Amino acid sequence: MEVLPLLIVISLALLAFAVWLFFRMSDSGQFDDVEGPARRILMDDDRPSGDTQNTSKTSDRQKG
Amino acid sequence: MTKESIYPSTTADSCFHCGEPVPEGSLWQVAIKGQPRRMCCIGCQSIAQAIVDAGATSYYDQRTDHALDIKTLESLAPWTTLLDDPDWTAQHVKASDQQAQTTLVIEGLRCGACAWLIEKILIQTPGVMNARANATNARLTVTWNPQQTSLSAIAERVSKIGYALLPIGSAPLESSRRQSDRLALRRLFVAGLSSAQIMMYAYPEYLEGGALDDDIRSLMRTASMLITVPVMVYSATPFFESAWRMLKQRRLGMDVPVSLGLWIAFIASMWAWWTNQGEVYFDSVSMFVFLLLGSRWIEARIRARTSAQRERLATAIPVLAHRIAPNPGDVAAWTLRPGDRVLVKSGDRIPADGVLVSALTDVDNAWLTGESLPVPVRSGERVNEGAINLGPEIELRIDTSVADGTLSRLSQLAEQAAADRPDWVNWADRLGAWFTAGILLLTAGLIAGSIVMGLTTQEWLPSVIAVLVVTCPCALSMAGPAAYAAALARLLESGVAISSAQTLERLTVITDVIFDKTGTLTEPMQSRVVMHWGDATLWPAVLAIASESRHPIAMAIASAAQTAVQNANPSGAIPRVEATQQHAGLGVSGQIDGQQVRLGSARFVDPTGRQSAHIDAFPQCTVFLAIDNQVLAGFEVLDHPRSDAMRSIETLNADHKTVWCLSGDRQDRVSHFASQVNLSKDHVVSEATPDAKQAFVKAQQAQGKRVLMVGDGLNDAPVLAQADVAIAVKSAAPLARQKADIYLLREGLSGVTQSLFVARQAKRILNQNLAWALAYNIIAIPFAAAGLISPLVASIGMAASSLLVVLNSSRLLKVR
Repeated sequence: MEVLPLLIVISLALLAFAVWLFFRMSDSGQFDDVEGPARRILMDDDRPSGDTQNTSKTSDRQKG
Repeated sequence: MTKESIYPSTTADSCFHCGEPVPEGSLWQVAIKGQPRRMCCIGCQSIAQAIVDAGATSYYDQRTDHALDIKTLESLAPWTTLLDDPDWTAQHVKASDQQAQTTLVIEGLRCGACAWLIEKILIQTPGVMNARANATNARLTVTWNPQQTSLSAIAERVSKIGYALLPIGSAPLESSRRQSDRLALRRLFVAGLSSAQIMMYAYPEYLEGGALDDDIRSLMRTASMLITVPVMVYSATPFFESAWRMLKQRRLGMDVPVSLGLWIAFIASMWAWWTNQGEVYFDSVSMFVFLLLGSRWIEARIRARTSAQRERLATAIPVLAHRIAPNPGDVAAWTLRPGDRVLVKSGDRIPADGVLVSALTDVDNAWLTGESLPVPVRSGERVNEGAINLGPEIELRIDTSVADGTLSRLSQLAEQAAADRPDWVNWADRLGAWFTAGILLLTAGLIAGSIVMGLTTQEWLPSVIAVLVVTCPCALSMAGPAAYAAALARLLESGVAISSAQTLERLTVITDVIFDKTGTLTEPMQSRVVMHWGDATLWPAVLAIASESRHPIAMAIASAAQTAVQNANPSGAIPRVEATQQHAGLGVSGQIDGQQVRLGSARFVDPTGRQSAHIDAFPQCTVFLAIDNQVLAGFEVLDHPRSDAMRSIETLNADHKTVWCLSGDRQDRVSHFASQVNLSKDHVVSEATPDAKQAFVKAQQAQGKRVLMVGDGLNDAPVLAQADVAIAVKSAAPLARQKADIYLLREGLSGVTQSLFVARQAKRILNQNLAWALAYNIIAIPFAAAGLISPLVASIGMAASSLLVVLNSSRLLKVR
């Protein structure tokens, strides 16, 4: 059990490091937007997709 | 991404892009991912096409709400001119030769998909170096090369895909808000990490109990203490500050027992750690702070959503001024400089502080002072920006520059409105204070009783801490404001702006809904106008006099006259009108070339009734033109019901509301209209003057009914003021807007049913929260007092309960 004091000191140091890291990240503005990035990852760039650019003022009465 | 978007639901007759109804016979459409999608207008079509052309159709898969409608987008266009204003630029743009950067508000940003779309479009734009759109607070930070492009060109590009870029109200406010958001998250993080770590240190003691080695136990306690100190002095300070503020004001709030409980537990633990005797509660302290901060953080995010919306709403009020010298024309108000001369029509807002040049007028200062009586102003006296001109058209000489003043005042207004709280929130707050006082008395009694019974400190301390910590007045003090904030945010998102907090409560008891016909249930700008007698040479005069009025019928006549004039003689001059006067409910009059011109009802153009034979020959005509008391022309105006009028009336009927329609129009026309929108003939009142409308509402109220009035015009102002709740539709006159409690920011009537629905939901959620708080406390307090709940369990119970009410309130954001 002699190792216990050492382990506790290490855990406290880790804790201090985590807090320091978090404060730095918060300064960089990483947490200012918590919604955008989560969605951004889902969006894909679909420029080469098969969309034909046919805007038309044609009748849309298929349903009759 | 081949899957169809689930949200938002698009029906066959609503625009795929903005969700507004598609007018009958409309043929606008865009092929999106090979599917033809219907659009409501050419504006949405070109926006959707621009999105397809940019290769960004996945926006349509990922979005959670429809886009901004075209009319709102167009109404925001004048704000873009501010972005080129040198004074504004000097203050808000960080610029060097090669690079300029600023932050703007994005109107129309509804979800992460919008943020992605805007960034994508801007990065494709030449000259833009970087663009970051924040989906949480709707801000765009853009960096560009000033030699290649300009801010207004960037705004133009963004408007092509359906968003408006607006200036930020106040830069210092913005940065202080960001700082406090970051601080709150840091406090939460420190408390969370600490409580997790303390659990590690406390675990052996729980597991082994008394069997633990004394040395190890004191080592663990020392480590716990070291981590709890930052939680107390850093994370928990908001509670202490708020409790201290409360006590200084001789009030009691939920933070008082919270702080007391925290300090008693902390000091007792410190004592136990120092003397190495008795229990420590470091784990309870950190856990309690973490969970409570967590629920506050969620509440703050709901609130931030409301205030961001409010601020955008404030900037969304279009501020245009009609300048006559120098450079005559309609300009944005903040481009006015001292010395400029402007005209202000009857019923319009004063665009900037200035001195009256015209002889005499009355203004309504309610917006600034709350005083609703008209204030007379003479030539040479000052009038304030934001006041409403009640008299004839006036001329002003501007004497202050407005650019920054207007913006900061607008954001102040936004803050004020958000700080306003409904009665039930105040009531819950007072109840919370009494409840807190009760808890403090109970605790004191508990301590006194224990000492009298000869119990040791070790025996009574846990139950005292548990009582202080377990009590949850939060459903009273916290969930009320949270529910209110969530309801406001929800309403603003569907384009409903509420001017006072009490409105939400009054909406829940409405029994009757009364609509004005013209301009509210009908779309007058769309009405067809037919001139039944009189000759075509009159059209220029008709155009001139009709343009002087904001009444929707006058606007429809003006647009018909415009077409007629353009067809006959496109280069012909339009005569100038002097001494214009608005006559509420009657018409408009003025002087053209020294001749008295009147446009309005039969009663108005022919007060003596001498020419009634002539007028009666054309019963279909409702509006007449008289020059020098000679009735020269009659106009028939064919009503065009709003596309969602029938749907709204049906929804209200299904909701057991009595729906009425009040109109100044003739009986046959009103009943014909009523049959068009499925309204029963008994619920229609025609030929009603403004006074008669007000009397009708009064009579309904005398029968114990609670009346919601929906109107738009200058002549609706008295009846709007009389009703229990008044709603002004999007195109309403400024005076009508001012008298109304609710102002619809989107075209159409869906806001009426929406506000009733959300108000009822908010009330329901508040009641649920109250019921929960009552049940929880009745059960928890006796157990805590009897010492059956440990401080740790008490802190988790309390925090979980506040989290529950906040999350319950946040459901309001999602209701459809």
